[in-house]
Amino acid sequence: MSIRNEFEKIDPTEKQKKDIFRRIEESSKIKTDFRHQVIRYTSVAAAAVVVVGAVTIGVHFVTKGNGIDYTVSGSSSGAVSAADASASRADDRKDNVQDGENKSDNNTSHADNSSANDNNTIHLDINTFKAQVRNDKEFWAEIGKQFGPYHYEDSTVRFDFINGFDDFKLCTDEAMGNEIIDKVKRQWLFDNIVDFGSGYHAIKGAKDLSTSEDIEKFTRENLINGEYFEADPEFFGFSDMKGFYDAASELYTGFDYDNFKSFIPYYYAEVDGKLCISKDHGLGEKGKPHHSVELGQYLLIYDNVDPSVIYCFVAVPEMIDSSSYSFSLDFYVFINTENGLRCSVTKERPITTCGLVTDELEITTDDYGNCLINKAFHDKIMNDELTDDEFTKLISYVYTGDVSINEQPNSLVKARTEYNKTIQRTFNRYILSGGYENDDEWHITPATPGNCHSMKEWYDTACTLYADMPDYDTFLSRYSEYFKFDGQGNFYYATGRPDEQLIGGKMPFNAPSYNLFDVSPRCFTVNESTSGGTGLSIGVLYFYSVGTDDTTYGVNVAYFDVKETSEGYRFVTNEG
Amino acid sequence: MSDYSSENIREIYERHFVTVYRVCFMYLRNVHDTEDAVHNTFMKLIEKQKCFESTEHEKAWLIRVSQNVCKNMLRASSRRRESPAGDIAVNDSSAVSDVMIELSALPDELKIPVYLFYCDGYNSKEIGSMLHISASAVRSRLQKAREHLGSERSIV
Repeated sequence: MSIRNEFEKIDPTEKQKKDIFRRIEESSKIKTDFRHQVIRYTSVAAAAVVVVGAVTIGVHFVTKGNGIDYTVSGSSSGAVSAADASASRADDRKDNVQDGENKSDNNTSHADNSSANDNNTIHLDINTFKAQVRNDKEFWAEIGKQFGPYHYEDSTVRFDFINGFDDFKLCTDEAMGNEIIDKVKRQWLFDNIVDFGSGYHAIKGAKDLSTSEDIEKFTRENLINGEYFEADPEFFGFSDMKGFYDAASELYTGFDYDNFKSFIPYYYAEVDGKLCISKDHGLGEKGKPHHSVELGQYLLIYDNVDPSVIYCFVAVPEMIDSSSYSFSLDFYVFINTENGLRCSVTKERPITTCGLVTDELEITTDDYGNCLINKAFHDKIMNDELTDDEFTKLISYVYTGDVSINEQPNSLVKARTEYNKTIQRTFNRYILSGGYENDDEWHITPATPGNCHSMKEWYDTACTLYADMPDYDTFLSRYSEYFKFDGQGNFYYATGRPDEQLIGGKMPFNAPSYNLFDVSPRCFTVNESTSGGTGLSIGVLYFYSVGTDDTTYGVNVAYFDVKETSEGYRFVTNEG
Repeated sequence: MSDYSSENIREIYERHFVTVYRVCFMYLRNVHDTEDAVHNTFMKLIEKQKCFESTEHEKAWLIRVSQNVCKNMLRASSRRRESPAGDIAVNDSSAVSDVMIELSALPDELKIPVYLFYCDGYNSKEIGSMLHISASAVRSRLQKAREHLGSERSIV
């Protein structure tokens, strides 16, 4: 029985569906109370008018990411009036885009299309449009309208293409620009090859298949060992696993051939000396076209604090149809090391914009419902200075599930006094063992090049922070599944892909998780009656920096049952 | 009170009901709790008045919220010293296969990538975009999930 079949067996009936919706309606009184307001796809998307020569060819609202493109098409000649253009919804396959499918029947405004009404127009001569560093404000301001300010959550960069262009020093070093362009292009192409969306383009002889009959015939005639198709060397640029490894080694270092084979996705295999692809990853769907990386427009900016760090924004036009383009935006961080430029981070699409920098208490939630507070709020919590109202407000934002927080700040202080010494150790173990809300954040983060740590070194560091660290052997046996080691004892987070351990030319990481969490979590008591009646539970507020400039913190809650023993309080994690 | 119209809610519900239901069932493994979780998830949507960039954003948000809803229901049952597995034994044992039990026993961070990959057919890059993790992290999680589920499992 396949996993897919298992999921498909979870097939709620129409009656269930209707009944649940009826409950929702009753609960929310949506029948009587809801105001009619269209869904607001508030995005990020705005207009970018691409002009080829003197010909305006289209205006595109784009929300990227497996998503839906909202395309505004204009006239094919002369200056288009974006305001006259009609929003249309395009299928996420670019080759299937149908302009003009009018969505105006519900007056939907899919995007903040204010820019469609102004005169900011990018004039591009497509004939000279090639991968290049460009520093003109007009271009990036338009991209900024399309994607909004950029905030990179794990670093300090917060860049507003429209208003912040002068706040950063541009990298105008042509040689460095060329090197970065080359690296991004190679990485991009390699990423697309490693993680192709469909076997059609990657399987030898399959790219022209179009009908189910063709596919069945092809499968009958070409399946190897009942499991694999031969990879297409034209697509990959290599024909065997060694070629794959060699290509990867041009981009990444830090692994040997045997390691490499365990890093690449499961659907690759070598059969009879040929690189093959599992049929499971094969012929189910036509792949999407690759980014037009050769046309990427680069903006390179030095970090204001560390000039060896260069932020690289890449706007890439993607052909919608033969006459229309939209843009995607990628973000990379390069670090200039003794061994040359290293790319440390790749991010597609902007991350949540955080601007909580004022002295007033600010609290909000991000797109995923995570509670964010500013430093003023954070400091007030840490100093136990919250008023009742402020505490109530905080708790109303923090996702507490069905737990009723009846206790007020005085009990928070009490709980802190009473429990903090021991909860601190428990909490550290809780975080170290993975947490539950931020499974990506408990573990070590990418290293600064040249700042490598051995496992033992990291362990010793952790011991200075965590009071209850087990002995080294126990630690290894307990957590080894999360780490891998190289021959020199350097370690890295267990992952499946080369680009996560390429940092610094080796593969080590530093900065254990304590950097990401406040080391003084704050307790509050959970009302006994809501904790099951079998004993007292406490909630622990804990914080993690969003960015490294300490202006914005995420807030989470972990719950523990409290047991009082002759040796003091013990805390048992209370995660179902 | 909501800024959404009932028609809009219905549209979103129609788009994502099955996904939310399946995610919740994967966690809770019984019909009654799953129905409650689906209800609570969409109530969160109404309460939060979320604005979405796209239907994928919408879906990602609903998945995330449904996870939280389910985890809190499990947490609550844990505090009440009730076992969701006990519910299965009483209510739905015949309806829950060994595979589904294995799936719901997966660590939380593995469940959703598995669902999106195997059921909804997203590739790792797309899943990474939805979950705000890297594509390689998705692949890593899928690999871990496969290890959890046993290498002999068909993964089509």
